[in-house]
Amino acid sequence: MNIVPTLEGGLKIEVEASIDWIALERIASDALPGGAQELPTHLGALMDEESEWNELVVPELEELFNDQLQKVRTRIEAAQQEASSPSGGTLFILREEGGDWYGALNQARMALESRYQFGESEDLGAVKEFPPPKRSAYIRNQFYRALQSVLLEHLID
Amino acid sequence: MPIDPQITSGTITEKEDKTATSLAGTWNVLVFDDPVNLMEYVTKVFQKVFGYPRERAEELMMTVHVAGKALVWAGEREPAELYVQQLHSYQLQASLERAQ
Repeated sequence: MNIVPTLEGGLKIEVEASIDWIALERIASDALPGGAQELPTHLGALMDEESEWNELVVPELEELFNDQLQKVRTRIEAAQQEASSPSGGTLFILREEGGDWYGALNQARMALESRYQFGESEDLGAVKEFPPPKRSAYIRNQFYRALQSVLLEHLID
Repeated sequence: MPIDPQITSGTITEKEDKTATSLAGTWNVLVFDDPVNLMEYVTKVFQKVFGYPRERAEELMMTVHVAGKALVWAGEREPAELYVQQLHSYQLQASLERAQ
């Protein structure tokens, strides 16, 4: 997979193998359990009763976070359908879509962190000792983080 | 039984007064550290939400990162709640506390 900035201020993701599509598809499926479904309540956990946070704000955040995931999923599916082969294709992220992509990736990372508690550890020795599901999740987390950094550098003001 | 409108409205007014009193004063908006949000992102969110210059936003981000939390704004309850709502929409852990 190659990720390059476009002249229009967006990003172009060149998919080179079917595993790349799988990696992109996992964003939404990783995000849903601990992201859109649980994150709004988690974020509001410290708010007092007077604010009526759960009644007034949490539903709005749920809608916002679900919308981010839906947009990303739709964009990936459309790019897959337009691809010339199952192992190739091109996915464009427009400049105005940068916030939605960043948010969706953040939800996925929040959900994975909540489930596996990676912390801020960069110790590769420890990562090698992770059981396979956690190791796989850690690699996806690093991929999402790298994509977020590219979005921050090129798309998000 | 018919409801006495004077008693009903008086009760509501009293409750509203108590709530207004309990929410009056200065409130702090706090942002907490987490292992997911990127430092550059947090800086940009502080610039966008509060209109802080880059240097101020970076300073607050570093306080969050090093101390685990930072007081990012203080003022009346209503705008403070709106700021927390915006911070949550950017997926930052934030809350309110009454200023001492």
